[in-house]
Amino acid sequence: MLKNILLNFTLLATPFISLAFADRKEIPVVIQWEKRLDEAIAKAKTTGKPILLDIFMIG
Amino acid sequence: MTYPHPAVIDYIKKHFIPVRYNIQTNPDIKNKYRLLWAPTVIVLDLNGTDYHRFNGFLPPDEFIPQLEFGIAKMALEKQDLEAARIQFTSVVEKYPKSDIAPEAQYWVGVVDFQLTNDVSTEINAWKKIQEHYPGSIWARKVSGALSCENE
Repeated sequence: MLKNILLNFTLLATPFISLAFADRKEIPVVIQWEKRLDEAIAKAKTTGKPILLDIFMIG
Repeated sequence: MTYPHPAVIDYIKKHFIPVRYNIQTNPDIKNKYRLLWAPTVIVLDLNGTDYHRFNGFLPPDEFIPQLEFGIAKMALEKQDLEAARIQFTSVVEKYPKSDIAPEAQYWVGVVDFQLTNDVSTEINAWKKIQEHYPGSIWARKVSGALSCENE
């Protein structure tokens, strides 16, 4: 009996769990911009990654 | 839109520490990097020294190769020739239709020569520019060296 309940629960829950993970994958990740060059340099030195400096203007 | 593109986000996340400044409100950055206009994107090393820059908006399929080219140029200027060769070759192989590809192939030739001290390696790399990018300015730049080689 318990085995059947667990089996049914698994069958019912699996698509929802899969959907939840699929949705999580599709959540758009944004670029985490540093706001200060000195902080970016500190992170760059920690990670070994170079820096991408983006210069923008408004209007 | 370049920055919201998943491939651009992924590339930047994997390879860079991104930082952004408004040119209108940051005169120190404007002066430090001799900025004329925005948008400008600059590849800096761990110390904040600039190695490659480009102006204006670019679509993702041009933007990413430019960043990769910047990493290659930085490796070359630091005389990490093996890394430079890998990165320049990567630009050509992964983004052969990008505008920066013929220039990357040019630098493959330069790096090959520096690695081997054998001019034929440079010539072979540059022949590929004339083969694959005959209409590019880089094909014209190497044409003199290639014509001397044919004489």
